[in-house]
Amino acid sequence: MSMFANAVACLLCLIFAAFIWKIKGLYRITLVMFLIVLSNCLYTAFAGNIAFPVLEVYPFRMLALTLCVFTTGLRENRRRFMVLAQTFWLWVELLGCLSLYQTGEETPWLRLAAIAGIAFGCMFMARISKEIEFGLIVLWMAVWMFF
Amino acid sequence: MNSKVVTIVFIGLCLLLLLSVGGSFWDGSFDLLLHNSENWKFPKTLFIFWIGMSQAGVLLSAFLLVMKVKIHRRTSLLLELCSLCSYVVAIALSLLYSNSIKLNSDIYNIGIVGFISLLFFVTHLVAADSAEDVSLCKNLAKIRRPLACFILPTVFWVVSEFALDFAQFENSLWQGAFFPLYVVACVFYMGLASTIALLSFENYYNRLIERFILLCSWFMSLLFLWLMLIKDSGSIIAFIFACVVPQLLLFEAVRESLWGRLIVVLCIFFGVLLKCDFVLYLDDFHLVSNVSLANVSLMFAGGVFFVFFFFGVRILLSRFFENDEILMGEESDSSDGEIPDAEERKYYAPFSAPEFKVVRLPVLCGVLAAVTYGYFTSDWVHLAGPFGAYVGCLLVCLQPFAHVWLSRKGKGGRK
Repeated sequence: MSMFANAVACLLCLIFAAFIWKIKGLYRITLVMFLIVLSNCLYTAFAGNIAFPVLEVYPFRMLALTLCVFTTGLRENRRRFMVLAQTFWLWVELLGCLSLYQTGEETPWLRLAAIAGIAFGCMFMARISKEIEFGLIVLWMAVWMFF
Repeated sequence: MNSKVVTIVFIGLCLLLLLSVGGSFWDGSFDLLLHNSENWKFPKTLFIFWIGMSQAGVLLSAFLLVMKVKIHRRTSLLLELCSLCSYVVAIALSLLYSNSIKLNSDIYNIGIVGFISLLFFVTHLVAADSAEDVSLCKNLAKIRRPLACFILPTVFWVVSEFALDFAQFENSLWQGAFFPLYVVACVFYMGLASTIALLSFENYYNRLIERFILLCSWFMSLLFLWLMLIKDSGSIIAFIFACVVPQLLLFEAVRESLWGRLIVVLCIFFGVLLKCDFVLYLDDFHLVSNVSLANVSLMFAGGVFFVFFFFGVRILLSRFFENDEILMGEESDSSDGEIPDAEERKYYAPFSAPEFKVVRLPVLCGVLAAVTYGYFTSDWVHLAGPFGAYVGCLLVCLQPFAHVWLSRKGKGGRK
């Protein structure tokens, strides 16, 4: 996927996260999440070549980034859900890396290490201030765009 | 437990098994059942299905515990027992039809998860038994969530690894990053479906799980369709059974009826079975077009064995513990080893939560064990992680006994 399409995907994730912040109720949130995954799948299908193995999990990577950004807006158990969202991202990336490794293609281990590092760092955070929230979002975007 | 319904289901399944075995004489497929033939591939489909079931119950139980979703003790116990019984069926199948079901190194991973599941289940049982030492029960209740924290990533890893290896060695079409994720989602979905089925036999109905299954079916539909899009092939019949039929739960008449719920759950299981067949043969109609009464017999034999083993253990445990309700019933909201709400909302500084204090030493030892194993065997991908989890779980389980022993020794010393 091109750099521009990747950036648009990142922007979409931020928009989706902002949208989830405003929704309440199990059914509504799930419906919105369903629509988000659907949009992610459609975006990936139109913006990239889905025959390329890396893009198989692209919609779920987008979902993981959305969830990570969404957790910064939580009022309770923020650290726990932040770490869980990043673990989900890490798991999706790890599967991608392993499958690429098995097929003998180039594997983005650095991205994996970066996400693991940020998730581990989040475990040490006590009270997460607005500035740290912003910093984290910037870090996730940097990982998404540059690694 | 509704013994009458269980008996009727068991006798019904036995009759169907007898009919299908009798019928297999008629269509000439009886030989397949007796001989461990390499050409008969249906045992492999069933094996994959039961292996999925064996991960499903414990995955869901651990997931709900880690996410602090309150469910009754009975529900989680049933799920854990379902996992263990599915293991037994899968093992029996692999032993009986060893020529058809070729096992690779993944079986060790699955064995480790089976052992950890057994530890999880036994811990849950003993923690619920008021006849035992009270301090031991309290200590065991405290390690349930830490154990779940070990089990959840291990099951995720083992299922993903199983799917990756299946794609690499069995059918290269499934190679890619999405297939493992899809398999884990299917396993989770099966766990939800089995909960509804098992609770029906207890005359009990969990609306939260029913909502989860409906919501999960939407996501499963998306995953099915995405897989069809990226691989250019997919089982439409499996999609209809596993994803379209559960939408009937949107109607109150189906949702509120026991038979309605059971039919939906059976459709989900049949859909997943069709999907298991599809990932092996890439033919939407393979299971239907190659149907023989030997296949049907083996399917019912698995069902009968599962029902017999599951409800046998369930009844045996009910008798073993004097008060059935303490074992499988719901005493109160906080009876499931749950931390009361006030304590749940309490803020803990990083690395100071009670669960962390329980897991820190076992995690350290587990990591060391995994690194040592990886260093000596050079197998970093397959067994290192599960081996570390195995060591960690053992140490977590030993902690309550060490606590009780130390406290008794302290009291003895003071006397």
